[in-house]
This record gives sequence, structure tokens and C-alpha cells, in this order.
Amino acid sequence: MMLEKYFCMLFFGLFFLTTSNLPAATIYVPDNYKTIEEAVKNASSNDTIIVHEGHYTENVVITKSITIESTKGPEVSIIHASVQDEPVIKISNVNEVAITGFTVTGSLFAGIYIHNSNNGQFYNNKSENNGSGIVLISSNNNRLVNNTANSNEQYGIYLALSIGNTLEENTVSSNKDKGIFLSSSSHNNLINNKVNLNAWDGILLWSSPNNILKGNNVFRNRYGIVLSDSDSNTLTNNSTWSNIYIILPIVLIYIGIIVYLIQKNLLLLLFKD
Amino acid sequence: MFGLTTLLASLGLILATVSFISGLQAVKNQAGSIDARIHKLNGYLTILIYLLLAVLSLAEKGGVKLWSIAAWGSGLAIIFTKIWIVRSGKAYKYASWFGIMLIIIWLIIIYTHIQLGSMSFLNL
Repeated sequence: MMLEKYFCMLFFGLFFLTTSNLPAATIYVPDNYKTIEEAVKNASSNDTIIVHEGHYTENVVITKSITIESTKGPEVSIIHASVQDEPVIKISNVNEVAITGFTVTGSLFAGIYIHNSNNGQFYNNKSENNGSGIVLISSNNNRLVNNTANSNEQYGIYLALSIGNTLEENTVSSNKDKGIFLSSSSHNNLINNKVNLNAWDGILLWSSPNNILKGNNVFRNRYGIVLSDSDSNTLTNNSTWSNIYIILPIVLIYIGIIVYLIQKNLLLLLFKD
Repeated sequence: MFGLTTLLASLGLILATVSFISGLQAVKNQAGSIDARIHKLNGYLTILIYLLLAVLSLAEKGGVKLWSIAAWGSGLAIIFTKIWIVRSGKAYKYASWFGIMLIIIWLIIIYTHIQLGSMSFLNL
């Protein structure tokens, strides 16, 4: 009887040890699963999903800590929303998700929607022609690096109730409302982003204290960097020039008039006779 | 700093302005005046820059697109119409209107080619 109990305990002990330390698997799309969503459903935490180039029409919902990478980058790895009212990629209630190298498009809501999820990494993605580009709600300590959020109907990158996120070297251009919008979000770092040609504000901080904005280029938006009800933010080495597109041609026309006068006087000197 | 296309577009607008002013002055003075020479010289240089920009822009955008060709072609058509009006002597009174149209074309080109962040060295 004692021996049986001993073996039973040993069996459960071994089972616990093996299941708790399962090695992370690598899943390939479309080799192992035809769609990314299918691969995500069948993946375990800490698995990596490698996606080959192609055009995928689907909405991906992520609720476990996984890494999704494209093999050949965002130009040839495109996810188009199959349900327009849902985000193309939705990350909900999960930590440490990483997504790299995709173009996400065709959602009326958002390209990448991160809700209540922390410590994620989002590198080298393109979110174009969506409702908003990248949306973070109640999500902390995520890193968004080298992403592009262009030509969206509303915001390029939107953070609400989010703390300690890093937005670095992203390009946020030609969105029909604001470029980067922080609402009730604090202790975020916005570093070396390019925020251009957005229809309204380039960067708007609304009720968002204690953020760091450093080295951002904010050009040709209606307003450059706008702080509303936001105290104790640190702004260093940001460049803004909202109306350069009006100034430069005028300067050039003035130069043209001067060049004409110089040319005329030179020719008058040369051809006096 | 400025990209090549922005530099060319800026130079184009400067030369187009010179050509436009000298053209207006040449109308006042007799043919063969210094203004007429300045007008011709800058005008031809402007056309060359225009063609160079068209080639560079079409090549830059990764593939020739119908709308781009149509837009660049329309500009070229306005340039040649203006030259034809002046040379043939027909509808001469409209030449200055075409001159203004050419300036507007260059303004559009400037807006299209101006580099984002190109003035960041001014740190404004």
C-alpha cells in the first residue's frame, strides 16, 4: 500500500515537472496550419509562430503569451481583416506577447488592438487603412518600435489608461485625425518618432502627466505637439514645424526674384553694346 | 536634409520664377532684349528639370502608374502649349496666364516633393 502511494506521488510529481517546463514549440504558417488564427488556437504559452509571406484574410485573437513573426517582413506578410468591425490583431488580457513584421489592414476598428495586456513587444509592423493604427487600452510596459501607422481613419497610435509604454522610432503619418494620442496615460516614453502630415494634432497628450517626449519629428500636422490638462511632462529635442509647406515656396519665389535681378545685371554688364 | 527631388523641385521653382518675371518684362520690351534671353535660358532649364523630376518620381514610386503619367504629361502639355502660343503669335494675350499656370505647377511639385523633416536642422 505504501509502495503504491509512493509510486502515485512520484508519477504526479513527474507529470507536474514535465508539463510545467514544456519546451516552447515553433509553429509554421501555412506549413502546420493554414491560417494564423488556427495556429494561435493550437499554440501553447511561450510558443513561436513563424508566418511565411502571403496574404492572410482573417482576424487574429491572442489570449496567450506567444510570439508571432513573419519571415520576410511587413511588405509581403499582409493580414487583412475578414470581419471589418473587429481589429485585425486583438491581444486581450495576456502578458508578454510579441508581434513582428506584419502589415495589418482593412479593419474599421483598429489594426492592432492591445487590451489589458502588459510587457508586449511590437516591432516593425505596418498598420494602414484601419479605423485606428495601434490602440492600447489599460496596457502597461509595452514596447512599440519601428512600426508604421499611416493613413488610418482616426488615430495613428492611441494610448488610453496605459502606463510605462515605450514608443520608439515609429512613423505615424497621414492619419485623418491625430497622429499619436495619449489619453489619461502616464510615464510613457515617446522617443525619435516621425509624426507627419496628420490632419489634426501631431501628438496630443490629454490628461496625461509624467510622459517623456524626446527627439520626435513632428512636421506638417495642423498642430504640432499639444498638451491639454497634462502636467510634468518632459519635452526635449523635439522638432516641430507645422507650416513649412507655406513658408518654403514663398522663400523660393523671393530667391527667384533675386536670381532674376542678378542675371539681368550680369547680362547687362556682359552685353553692354 | 533635402533630398535630391526636393532640391531639384526648389531649383525648378526658382528658375520658373525668373523665367516668368523676365517673360513679363520681355513683353514690355522689344524682341531680342536681355529679358527675352533670360526668359528662354531659364525656361529651357526649367523644362529639363521638369523632365528629370518626372523620370525620378516615376522611378521612385516603384512602378509606372497611369495617374502619375497623366499628371506629369498634363504639365508637359501646358508647357508646350505656352511655347506654341508665344512662338506662333496666336492667342498671345493668354501667354501670361499660361506662365502663371506653370508657376502653379511648380508650387504643386514643391508641395509633393518637400521632404518631411528636411528643416529639422533649424531646430524650430
